[in-house]
Amino acid sequence: VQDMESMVVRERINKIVIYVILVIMAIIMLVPFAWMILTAVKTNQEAISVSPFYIFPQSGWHWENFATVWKSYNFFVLYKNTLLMIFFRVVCACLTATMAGYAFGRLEFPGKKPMFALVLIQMMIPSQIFIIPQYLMVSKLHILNTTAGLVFPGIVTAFGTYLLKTGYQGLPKDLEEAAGIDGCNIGQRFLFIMMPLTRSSMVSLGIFTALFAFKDLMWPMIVCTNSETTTLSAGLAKMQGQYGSDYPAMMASAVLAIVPMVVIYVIFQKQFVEGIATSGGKL
Amino acid sequence: MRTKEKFAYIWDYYKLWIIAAVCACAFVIYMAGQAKNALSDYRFYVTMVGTNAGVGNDSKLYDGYLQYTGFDPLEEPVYFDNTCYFNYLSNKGVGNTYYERLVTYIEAGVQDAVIMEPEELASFGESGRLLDLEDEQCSAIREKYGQYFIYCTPEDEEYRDGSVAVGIDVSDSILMTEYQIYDTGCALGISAYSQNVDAVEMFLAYIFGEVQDGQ
Repeated sequence: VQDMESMVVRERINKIVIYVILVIMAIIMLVPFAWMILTAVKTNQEAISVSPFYIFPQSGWHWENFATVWKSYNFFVLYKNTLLMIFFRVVCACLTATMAGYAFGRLEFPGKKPMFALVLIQMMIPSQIFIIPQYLMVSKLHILNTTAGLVFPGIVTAFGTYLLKTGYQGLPKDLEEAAGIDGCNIGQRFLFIMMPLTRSSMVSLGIFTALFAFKDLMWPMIVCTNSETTTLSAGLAKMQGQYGSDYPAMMASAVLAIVPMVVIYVIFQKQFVEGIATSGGKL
Repeated sequence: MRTKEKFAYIWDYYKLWIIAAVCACAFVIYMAGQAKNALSDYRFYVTMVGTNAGVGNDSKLYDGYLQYTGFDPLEEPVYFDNTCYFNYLSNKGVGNTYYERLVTYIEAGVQDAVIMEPEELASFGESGRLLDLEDEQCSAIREKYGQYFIYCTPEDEEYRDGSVAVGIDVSDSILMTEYQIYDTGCALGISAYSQNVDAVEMFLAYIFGEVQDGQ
C-alpha cells in the first residue's frame, strides 16, 4: 500500500514539474505577443521606457494608434493582396504538386528517377539562389507589381511534390487496379480514385503553403514596389521607414497584420495540428 | 427530355470540368488584365540606403527630377527608393532582406544608382557591384565629376593591383544641402549592370542644380 502511495505521489510530482515547465514555456512564447499588443496602445514615451513598471500603459489605452496606422496605410488593400496571393499560391501548389506527386509516385516513365532527383536537389538549394532568375522571368513577362508576379514562385513546389509523392506511394495498389479493371483510364484513376485519398497530404501542403506565403517578405518586397499591390509583410517593412521611431505605430501595424492569420488559425486549428503531424514539419 | 433536365444532366456529369474551366478562364482573364496594366521597365531606379528623409516617390525631389528630365512616369517609370536599411560597414548586409533586394535589383539590371554615405559606398564598391566610372560609357560623367570620384580596391583579383572609381561624392548637391539625407556626407554609385547611365547623368546634373539646355 505504501509503495502504491509513494508511486502516486511521485507521479503527481512529475506531473506538476511537467506542468510548470510547460507553463514557463508558454509564457516565454506569449510574452512577445503581449508586449506587442501592450506597446501598440502606449504612448511613444512609455514604449521606449525600459522601466519594468511600465508594462501596462500609464496614461490610458491609446487605441487611436490603430486608427492612425489604418488611415496612413490602406490595410484593406494589404489584406486583399495578401489573401489573394495566399489563395492562388495554395491552389497552384496543390494542383501542380498533386499531379507531379501522382506521376512520380504511381507511374513509370523514362527518366523518372533523374527527374525526381532534380526535384530533391531543388529542395536542397537555398531559395535565395532562385530569386534573381525568378525576378528576371517575372520582369520579362511584365507582371511586376501584380498578383501574378506575387504568385509566380509558388506555382510549383518541390516540397509539395515530395510530400504528395509520399502520400500516393502509401496508397494500396489494389484500388488503382480495381479502377483499371472497371474501365478507368489514367486521368480518371487519378482524379476520381487516388486524388481524393490524398486529402490529408493536400491539406498539410495547403497549410504550409499558406503560412510560407504569409510570412514571405523577400519576394513581395522585390516584385512589388507599388503600395497598391504589395502584401502585409512588405507593407510592414515599408512602415518601418515611415514610423522608424514611433514604436506604438509599428506595433499597432504588426497587430493588424497578424489578424488574418490568427483568424485562419482559429478556424482551421484542427487541420493545422493534423497537417503538421502528418508532414512532420515545423511552423 | 426537357431543356432543364438536359442542363441538370450535363451539370451532374460534368460539374467538375465546368467549374475547372470557369476557374481557368477567370484566372487567365484576371492575369491578362493585370499584365496589361503592369509597369514597363524602369527608366531610372535609385536606392538611397539607410535614410529616413522624405525623398521617396511622393517627394519634391522626385517631382523635380521628373520635371527636369521630362520623363512620363507612365511610359518611363522612375523610382526613388528610400526604404532600404542595412549597414554595409558593420556586417556587409548579411541576412538583411533589404540588402538582398538591392543585390537582386543590381544583378537583374533594374537598379541604376545607389546612394550611401561615402565610406559605406566605397566599401560596397569593393564587391564589384558598382560600375567602374573609368569605363567608356561613363566618359561624360568622368569629364564633369571626375574631381568628386571615390576610389576603392575591389575584392576581385583582376582589379586588386589598382584602385577603381566606384562612386561620386555628392555631398555638395541638394541631397545634402536641401534634404539632408545623411549626417556626414553622401555618395552615388552606378550599378554595374545599369542600362540607363544617361538617366543617372541627368540625375547628377539635377541634384547639382545644373541648368539643362533649352531651359
